[in-house]
Amino acid sequence: MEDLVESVGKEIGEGMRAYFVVPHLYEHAMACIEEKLRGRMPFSKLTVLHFRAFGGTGHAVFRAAAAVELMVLSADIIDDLQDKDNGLTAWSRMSPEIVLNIAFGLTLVSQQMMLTGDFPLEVIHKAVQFMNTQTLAAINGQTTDLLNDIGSEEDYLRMVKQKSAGFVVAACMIGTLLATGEWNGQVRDYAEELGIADQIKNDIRDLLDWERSDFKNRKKTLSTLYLLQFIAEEDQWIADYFEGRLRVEEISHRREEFERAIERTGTFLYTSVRMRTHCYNYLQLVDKLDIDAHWKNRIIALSE
Amino acid sequence: MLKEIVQVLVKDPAAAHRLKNGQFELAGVSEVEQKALLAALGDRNGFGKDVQLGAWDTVKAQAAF
Repeated sequence: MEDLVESVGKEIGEGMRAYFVVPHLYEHAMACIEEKLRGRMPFSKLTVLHFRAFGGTGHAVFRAAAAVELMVLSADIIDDLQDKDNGLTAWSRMSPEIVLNIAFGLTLVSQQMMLTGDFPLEVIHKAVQFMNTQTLAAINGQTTDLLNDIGSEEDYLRMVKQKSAGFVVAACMIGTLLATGEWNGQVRDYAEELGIADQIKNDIRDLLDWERSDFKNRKKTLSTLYLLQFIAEEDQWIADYFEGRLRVEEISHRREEFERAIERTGTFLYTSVRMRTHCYNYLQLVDKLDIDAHWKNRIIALSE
Repeated sequence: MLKEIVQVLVKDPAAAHRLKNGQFELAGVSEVEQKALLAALGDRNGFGKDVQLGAWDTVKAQAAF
């Protein structure tokens, strides 16, 4: 793909210079963004890839992709702020008051960038409406997540669809919408499958990483729900921990026991099957797309 | 149903061999789930965390495109 990071980065830089005029705000926001630019910018990639795959041409897509990236970055920052997570990020080293302003500002800069894009107004209207819908869904999902109000797999999947998978859907749909001017239900469906598979993968990784907030916050995920359903009598301490009857200091020496319980219950196997199922659904849905094989293969490669 | 099958598989290692040989009843499990289950079991050290976390590559390799 074209030099996406450079092109999207340039658009983001212009947006920041236009709207973050107080030097302290601008400099701190740029520190957050530069950290993001060092990543692979996966959401911009999804937007540009779908724009090209569905026949879009020209450079206007880069501003839209920048808007999508900033929308997700603001949500990431707020998520870390609320979870007190990810101590390695630039925003974790700043004062929360300033970080909150940066995140709120990024949401609005994102909207401004989409609104000033070089596309027909009715298409921009649809794109901004979709961004708002997905962001509001993510706020609802995030609230469920913060309350840890997950009692079943259905609750978990609903939350993932609102939150993390919702941003994958937004990135793919906005690229498609800007290229065609129309909604595409097929894209929505496979993007959601990809987003769910990716979240399940992250959740099982985080279950083993006791330094991260998911374990400390006793987050209920597909993996933990399954684990708690099948733990043996001697592993009841795990349920006690997840129900808040034990503190993390009281179980920190039982890490190996925990890993053995995960293995004994088949938690990895079950989670792996569920993750693969969503990934296979994704591949099957992409295969049904009526687009050039070159672009189809590029979309399939996203599951790498 | 998938949960019950996983429980059988972790309690009876021989069941995994029967499943791979098509001698294990997989009623109530969708075709996609069956494929996913066989792929997960097909990984070396199928119950190990490292392999499970690397399942993404396996999925890509198996994609029929």
